[in-house]
This record gives sequence, structure tokens and C-alpha cells, in this order.
Amino acid sequence: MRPAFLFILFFISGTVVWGQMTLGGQVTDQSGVGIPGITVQVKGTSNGVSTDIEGNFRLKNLSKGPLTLVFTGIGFQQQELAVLLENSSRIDPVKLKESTTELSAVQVVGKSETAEIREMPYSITAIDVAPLKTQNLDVNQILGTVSGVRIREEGGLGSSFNFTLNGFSGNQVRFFIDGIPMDYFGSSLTLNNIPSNLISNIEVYKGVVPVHLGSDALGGAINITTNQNIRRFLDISYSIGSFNTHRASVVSRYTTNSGLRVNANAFFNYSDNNYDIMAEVANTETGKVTEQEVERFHDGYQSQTVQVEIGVTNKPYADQLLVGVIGSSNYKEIQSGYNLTKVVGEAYTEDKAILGTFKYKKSDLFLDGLTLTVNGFTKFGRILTVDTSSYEYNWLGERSRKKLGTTSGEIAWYKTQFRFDDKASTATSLLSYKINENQSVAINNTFSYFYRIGSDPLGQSDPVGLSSVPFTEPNTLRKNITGLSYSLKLLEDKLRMVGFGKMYYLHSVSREEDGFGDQQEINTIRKESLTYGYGVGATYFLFEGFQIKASYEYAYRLPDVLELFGNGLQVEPNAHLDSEHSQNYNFGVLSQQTWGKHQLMTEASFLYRLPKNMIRNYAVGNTSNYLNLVDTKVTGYELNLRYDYNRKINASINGTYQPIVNTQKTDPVSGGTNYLYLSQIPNEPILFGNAQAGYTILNNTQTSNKLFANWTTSFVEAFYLKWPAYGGKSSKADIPRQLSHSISLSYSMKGGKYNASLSCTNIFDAVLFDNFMLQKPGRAFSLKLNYFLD
Amino acid sequence: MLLLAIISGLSACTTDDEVDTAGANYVMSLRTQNANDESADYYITVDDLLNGEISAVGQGVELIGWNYNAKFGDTYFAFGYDLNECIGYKLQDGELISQGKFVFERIDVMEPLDNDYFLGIGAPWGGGSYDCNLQVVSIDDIAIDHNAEHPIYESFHYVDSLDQSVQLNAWPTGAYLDNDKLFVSFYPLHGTSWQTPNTDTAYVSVFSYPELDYIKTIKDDRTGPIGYYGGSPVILENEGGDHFFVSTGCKACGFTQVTKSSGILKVNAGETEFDPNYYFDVEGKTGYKVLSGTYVGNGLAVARVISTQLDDQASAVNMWATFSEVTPILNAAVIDLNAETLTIVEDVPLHGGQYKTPYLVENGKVYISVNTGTDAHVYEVDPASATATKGAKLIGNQFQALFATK
Repeated sequence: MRPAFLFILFFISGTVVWGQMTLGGQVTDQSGVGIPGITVQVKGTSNGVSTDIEGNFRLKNLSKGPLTLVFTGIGFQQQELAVLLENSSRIDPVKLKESTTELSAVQVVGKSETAEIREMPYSITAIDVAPLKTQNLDVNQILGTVSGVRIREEGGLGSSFNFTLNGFSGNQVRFFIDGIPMDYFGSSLTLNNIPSNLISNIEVYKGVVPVHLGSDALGGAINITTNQNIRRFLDISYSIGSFNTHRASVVSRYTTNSGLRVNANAFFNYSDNNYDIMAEVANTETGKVTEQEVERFHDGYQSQTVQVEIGVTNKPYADQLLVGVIGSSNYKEIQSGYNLTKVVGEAYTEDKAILGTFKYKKSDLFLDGLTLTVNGFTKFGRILTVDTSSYEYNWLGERSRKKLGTTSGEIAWYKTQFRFDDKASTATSLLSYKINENQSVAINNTFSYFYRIGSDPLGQSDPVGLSSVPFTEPNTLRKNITGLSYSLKLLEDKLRMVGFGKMYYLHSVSREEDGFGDQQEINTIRKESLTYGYGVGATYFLFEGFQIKASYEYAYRLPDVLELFGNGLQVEPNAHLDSEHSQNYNFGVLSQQTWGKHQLMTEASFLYRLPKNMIRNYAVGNTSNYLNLVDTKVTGYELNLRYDYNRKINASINGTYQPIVNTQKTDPVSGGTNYLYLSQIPNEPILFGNAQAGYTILNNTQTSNKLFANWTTSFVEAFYLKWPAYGGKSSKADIPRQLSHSISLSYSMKGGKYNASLSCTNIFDAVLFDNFMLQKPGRAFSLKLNYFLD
Repeated sequence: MLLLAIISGLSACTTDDEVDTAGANYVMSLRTQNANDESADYYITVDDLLNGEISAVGQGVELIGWNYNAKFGDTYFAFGYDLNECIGYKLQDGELISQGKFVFERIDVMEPLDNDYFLGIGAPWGGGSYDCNLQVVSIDDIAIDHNAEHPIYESFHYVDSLDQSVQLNAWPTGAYLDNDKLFVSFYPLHGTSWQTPNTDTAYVSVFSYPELDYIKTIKDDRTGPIGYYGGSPVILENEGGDHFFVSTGCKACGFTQVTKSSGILKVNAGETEFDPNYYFDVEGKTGYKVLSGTYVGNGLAVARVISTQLDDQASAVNMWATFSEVTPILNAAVIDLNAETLTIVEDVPLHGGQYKTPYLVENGKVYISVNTGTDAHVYEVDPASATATKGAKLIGNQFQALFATK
């Protein structure tokens, strides 16, 4: 029995391993610092990969025997290495010499991962985060430098923000981490919680979103890829900044030789956000208003997250199989209503969530070229909103007891201690098959279920406004989205095309209260819909380094939890919300030219969109809700230039112009003439851009120490809060022109083992606004220390 | 550089030319969108009420959110309902220029007092508080001078369906000063449920001025409460200084019940009691209920009314239906307060209602905002002939205030 068993085991593992040996390694410069973006190719084959940010690579599908690796990359001399492959293994670091001779334009240029992404037939911006990693930046700050992207923050650390991408905003743009939709992670886990150390790539899809990100994005998607290649590391960072801001993170991974992997991460963020603003201070007796500089006094924020994942990698049955648990909580004080005239001194929100996660990936499952990826999680969350103050505050922090609205909170019409209890589950499955070198198909399914009940110990008798009554019975939201895509390469890979179809299913049960006082009853509103979307995209390489792209899609976006169920305080529920949909056309040209040590990338795009039934947030007083109202037309132009000299100096500039006009001919309520037909949609930035320059001051190849300096400038032209056509210019409420500059200096020692960076944001202390009257922080300093061990 | 050139070129495209504000015979607060939207009100100047279109395109002062408006002296006030701030404007060279602002907790009724002050009454909202805040506001300073908190009427109590004794609020609906006496009309209202269990008596409280001391509350059970939520004009003053009080008896004005017919009471000049010899039972005599009105002269008033039948139909759907400017259920009417007659002005189509219904009286004519549900116009009503002329089209959904500048 025993020998037979061993033999079978050997046979199975032997069979599985055969034909797919792997070879890993690292490419470094002469000082031993990893070089990203180097192409590593098996000579005489099409089998090749690019090195990641640390210079690591892993070649798959190799056969036993001798082979020759070819290393190519900009600024480095091409090098070949002969290897005799016996088993899957890892070779010693390969040191490349910097090129001293000029590279000719026809020479094969090493493609980084970001370059490969840019070559896909989607309108996409791939952000190489390597140069930004040491600079102590948030994900939001990194994204904010992408053309077409605006992030509108309400204040400092932890404040809510609205993300706009080519005129789409909020949930029309979907976020993913390693392909897993972020929608349900809740407010404890947001973009700003992800330390930039962990990120290897950020892809910004504009318009058409590939099927493998199986979601109902309408205007685009952002996929943040974290680094999976490093086997063992420990990354500890701590930063301290203005306004008593502290951020700490520990990110670690341990992989045994047998493939057992443990990921353990912890994040902590804290800030008082007590920055100075210009505010109207009301006299508590006369109500008379005077403008003066005050310090924000109730805007503290704290969040903490712990994550542990355990699993295996590089096993016959899985490239990666991980199960994990995430615990997170966050506390946030509220300082004002939707603008600064309403001062809040006591209200706050608190979130707690615990998630179980599951990640599975297997390439060449049963068949070569067949890859299965399954990600899932289930979450239990609790959101508490407390607004019970009987006082009115002014900007000096002085308070007076309310005389009339004594049952009102500071923001809520009725005092509230609203508590939501949420359960959410999401499963995403992706099966892709590479038919041959030129054709592949993929099918993706995303299923999600959300369940919410709520209670308010103070609100049992509330007849109007934000009542807990609709949540005494469960509100549920179920979505099932399936996508199928087919990709094709033609004309010796000069033409790449993708076609896809998507199916969207929505089922929601929401409750609405009816009647007043003691005659209240709960109405149940059920919504069910099945809709279809489709699209095509193509890119053509006219000649080396120059490509054109075009895409079209008809996409749906299903309403989400916040829009349907509200947030318990500022956002009221709307059980009647419908899906929005849009036709998106994109056209772009992209060129990448290299002359010796000079490299210039140019990207120009045009987009045209026709969103219908748009879900828009309408603010009335200090609260708001989401309504299906506006049909619009977006015409956008973008230009993006990036220059690099010898990996020493880089500079980029981008600009976006995107008027969005109302295309609704009749008034949505009365059915009469809509006098605002073809008017510019208010409260949306129209013209904005960024510029950035980086310089490597010191690059000591002996000690592997580097010193970088970086400058960024951000510009947004003024835009109006209300419809631009109405009212005299001088009296109109606007979000004024913003021009701000930030600078940072970072020093990295021993090839990135120790990093320190000092940054100053808004160096000229400009008065900045993203939202009407919600002033953002002035000049702020921060120091980040980072230790990386692998 | 190319990019910068493009950006600067594009920004040049986004600037429009300023529209000239020539004539300024009137100041209007134009509500450009539905009141339940993220609405924007504009204080604009208007030269001609009868011809062409009136719009805020390129002109006027933008008011944030939803506003009530009033003119005291030569200052035009905007009372933000969402922002709880009041801004005063003066007309200078045909343009409205801000003179300052103050912050308040609530102002639900705003009425003139004298040359220096106006009255702003904050109502107790949402149950839990029962006092009104009588605020005397300086017109010049644009600041609260002094205030007094008072329940304006000794507590109402009623027993609800859960057998609980519930205290009602007295919600102010109008006010006027007669020498040293301040009269405040109100209606009883359950603070949290907005129920109106007490609708068989009209109430007006009397205070001393400027002390704001409570004197008494006068009552009359020939009709129900005076006025309703939203501050529409329900107290009409004639040439002799007598005051007429409108009881709406209208369910679609936010009443959960109505027990008396709509009618008009009177308090004679210098007196502090209802005139026992005057009662115009409007609904009993004409089949219409009066929501609000303005006095023109010779006993004639122009009013907004609803038929008993439409009130029944509308209130069955929405107890606040008369606040919707796009629900056409109201008529314009001429009321002869002396002859006790009501004449429907047939030239004015059925139209929607408004908060704090504005009327402008000028040269014996009354100008009103009429929204038929799909579009809105100024109408000029001639009370003498009970006829009306359709005037300028509003590029918007109503005017929320209209004042003559001279």
C-alpha cells in the first residue's frame, strides 16, 4: 500500500508540475537596487515578463533544460544569461549596467507593467506608483494627479470625499483592490487607509471597464494592485504631521519554502484636523455675523484596522489560496453641515466592521491558459450616528441652548442615536481562457447581498425626517452581474480588440414609512430589474511607440446601499431609486518616444457620454438624498504629457476640459419646459490640471542611498455652486479657482531599507475649497519614516 | 506650453458677458426651480410685469437655498430657511447690494413694526418646546435687538389615540402692531405629529409693545383657527385700521381635520376683541375656502381660494397639497369684505399654491404668481371688475416675493 501511495502522489505532482516550471529572480542596478520595468524574455520565444517595483520577476511555463534569458530596459545595457533549468528555482540577482551608448529608436524598449496596461484597448491611465511610494502620499493624492480625475475632499484626514472621473462621480466610478470590489468594505476601509507602500500599481479605466473587474461601473473604475510577488517582508511606517496627525502601519508577509503564506497588517490613523479657516462667527445674542479666522474644534478622526491572512502559494491546486479576517473601526467627529454656516459641536459617527475574506487563484487549471480567480468576503458591520445636542454652536466654540427646535439635533431634524446593523457578502468569480496567442475569452460573475436593519433608541416616535422606522424591518439589496468578453489580436499584434456583454440583475426590498404620528405604517417597496449592456474597444499600433484607441459601451449602474438606504444622518434614504445608464464613446492617441536618455509620453483623449436617469445627490438644507433626475451630455478633452531624462529628472503636466450640460428638455417634476436645457451642470469642475516635477538629487551607487525632490501643482478653475446661467456674476456662490503647490523631499538608504520623507502641502497657504464654503487645510507639514525589510 | 495655451484658451470660452440691469421698478424673488429641489432663489430687478419674460439669466442676487422674503423700509430681506441666516439688501444704482446679515434659530413669521424694527417670530418646531421666540430686529443694524420667549397661549392639551395627554404648540401665522399692542394669530398643532386635533376656535394673542409682555388671548368659536403653516398673509388691514382675520378651514393646508367652515373675523381699530357683529361665513355662502389675501380698497380684497370639492380631493392625497406650486387646485377671487361676497376671477386659471403667498398691490391692481403646473406667469388682477390680465412669463416656477421699488 505504502509504496503505491507514494508513487501515485509522485505521479500526480509530477504530472502537474511538468511543463510549467517557474524561474524567479531579481534585476538590480550595480548598487543592488531593484529596477522595475525591465523586460525578461526567454530567448527565441514570446515568453517574457516585466520586473515589478522591486525588480523581481517570475517566468512561468518553462521546460526543463537549457535556456537563455534576455534582459532589456531603458537606460540599461542589454544582457543575456544562460540558465540550465532543473527545477523551479530562483536565480541570483542579475546586475545590469547602465547604458552609456545612445539607444536607437528601433531597439526593443523594455515595457513596464504600466506600459503594458496602457497598450490595452481600453481608455486607461496606469499610474506607476514606484516614484511616488517614498513620498508619503495618500492614494487619493496619487489619483488626484491623473487627467480627468478630481477628488473633492471636505476637509482633513478622514473627511469624506467625492471622486469624479470625466464627469462621473461617487459610485458611478467603482474601486477595486486586486480586482475585489471595495463597495461593501464600508467606511472603515477606504482608499486613504491603504498605505502606498503596499501598492504596486493603480489602473484608472475611463469609460469602458473590462469584464474581469466584474461590476456595474458606469463611468469608469480604479483598480489598485497590491504587491503579491515579494515572499517575505516587513514594512513599518510612521508619519507625524500638522494638526496632530499620526499615521502608523505595519505590513508584513511571511512565506515558507513549502509555500505557506501569512500576511499580517495593521493600520492606525489619527488627526485632530484642527486647522484654521476663515469663518462667519455669529454673536450669540444678536445673531450679527463677523468674519474671522477660527480653529476647527470638532473634527477629530481615528481609525484602526487589523488584517490577518493565512494560506498557501504556488501549490499544484492553487497559485494562491488565502483566507483572512479583517477587523476595523473608525470614529469621526462632525464639524459642520453641508457648508460652514451650520456649526456642529457634538455630533459624531462611529463604525465597526469585521470581515472574513477568501482569495483563490489558479492558472492553467485543467487546461493550459485557463485561469480561475475567486474572491469573496462576508462582513458584519455596525454604524452608529449620534446627534443629540440641545445646543447651538458658533465658530468660536461658544454654545447656547436651543430655544425652539429642542427636539432637533445639530444636523438631524430629530435627535438621533441611529444604529445600523449590516451584513454583506460578495463573491466574484473570473474564469479566463487563453485560446491561443491571439485570442482569449473571460467570463465574470459578481454576486452581492446586503442586509440592513436599524434602530434608534431616541427615535421610536419620530414621524418625519430621518426616522428609524423603515429599518425596524430588514432592507436588503441583491445584485448579480455577469460579464462575458472576447479579446483578439490581429495584424501581428498591431490591432487589439475586445468585445463584451454584461447582464445586470437587481433585487431590493426597502421600507418606507407612511402616515403621521400614531397612525404610522411601513410600506414595503420591492424593486427587481434585469438589464443588459455591451461594448467594444480597439487599439491599433500605427508604428512603434504610437497607438490609437477607440471604445464604445452602453453600461448600467445599479443604485447602491448609501443611495437607497441613506447613512442615518446627512443622507436620507430613497427607496424608489432606479438604475442609471449611459452611452460612452472614447477616442485617444498615445505616443511614447525615446531619444537616447530622453523619453516623452503623450496621451490625448476625447470622450463623449450620454448619461440618462443620472443618480444625483440633492442637498436640501443640511441633509440630502439621491434622486434620478438629470440627463446630461459630457464632452471631455484630455491631454497628458510626461517627460523623463535618464531616470533622474521627470516632469509631467496634464489638463482636462469637460463641460457637462443638462439635456433634459422637460421639467422632471411638472412636465413643463425645462428652462435649463443645455445649461452647464452646476457644482462640477470644468477645467483642471496638474503639473509635477521630480529630480534625483543624489544617487550614491556605493551606499545605495538616494535623495529625491518632488514638486506638484494642482489647478482647478472656479465653478459655480448653482446653475451658471442664473444670477449676476458678482453675487453667485462659487467654488473659487484653486492653485496649490506641494513639495516633498525623500531620502532612501540602503536600497530602500530605510526611508524618510518630509513634505509640505499647500506651501503658499492658499485658501482652498473643493466644496462650497468647506475650507480645506492650509499649509501642512508631515514627516514619514519607513523601514522595509525583506 | 501647448497645454497651457489650450487651457487658457478654454477658460476664455467659459466666461459669459454680464447682462445689463437697466430698469428697476420692481424687486422680485424668483424661484427658478421646484421648491423641493436644490433650489436657487434670485433677488432680481424687474421693469415690466406685463410683457415679455422675466428671468434670472445673468442678473440678480443669488440666494443660497430656499428663502422667505420681506421688505422693511427700503431694505429687502432674504430669510434662508436652510441656512438660518437673514441677509438685508438695498437697491443702489439699480442693483441689490448686501448690507449685512444675522443668524437666527427660526423665523416663521416676519411682519413690520415701525420705521426702525420688524418682528420675526420663531415657532416651536418638532415638539418638546412650546415657546415662540418674538424677535425684534433692527432694520438698519440687520441684527436682533431684543427678544422674548413666550408660549403665546396657555398650554393646549388633548388626549391622543394612545390615551396619552399631549401638549400642543401654538404655531404663529401672522402678526400686526396697532399702536402699543401686538396681535399674533396662531393655530394649535401637535409638535411631532403635525396633527391638528383642535380646530373649532379662532385664536389671537395680544402683547404689549415694545415690552412684549403677554396681555391676553382672544377667541372666537364662530370659525376655526386663523391662518396656517408657511406665513401666507391672513390678516388684512383696511383704510380705517380695522383688521380682518382669515380662517382657512382648508384640509390641504396641512390640517388633519377641519370642523368649522372657512370664514373671516374682524378686530376693529384700537380694540382688542373680535367684533361680535362681523362674521363672513365665506364657505357657507360661496362654497370656497380662503387661503390668504390682500386688501386693496373700498372693502375689496384679492384672495387665493380653493373649492370645497378640490380641497377634499387634494387633501385625500396630500395634506400639504396647497404648498405645491405645480399642483393646480387654487383660484384667484375678489372678496368684498363689506358686502360679504366672493367672485372668482375667471381669467386666472387653476394654479398651485405657495409658501408665504406674495401679493403686490399697486394702483388698485394686484399682481400674483400663477403656476398652472407646467409654466408660470405674472397675473394682474383688477378687483373692481374681477378680471385679470396674463402678464410676463416667468422663467422659473414662481415668484416668492414682489415689491415695488418706489
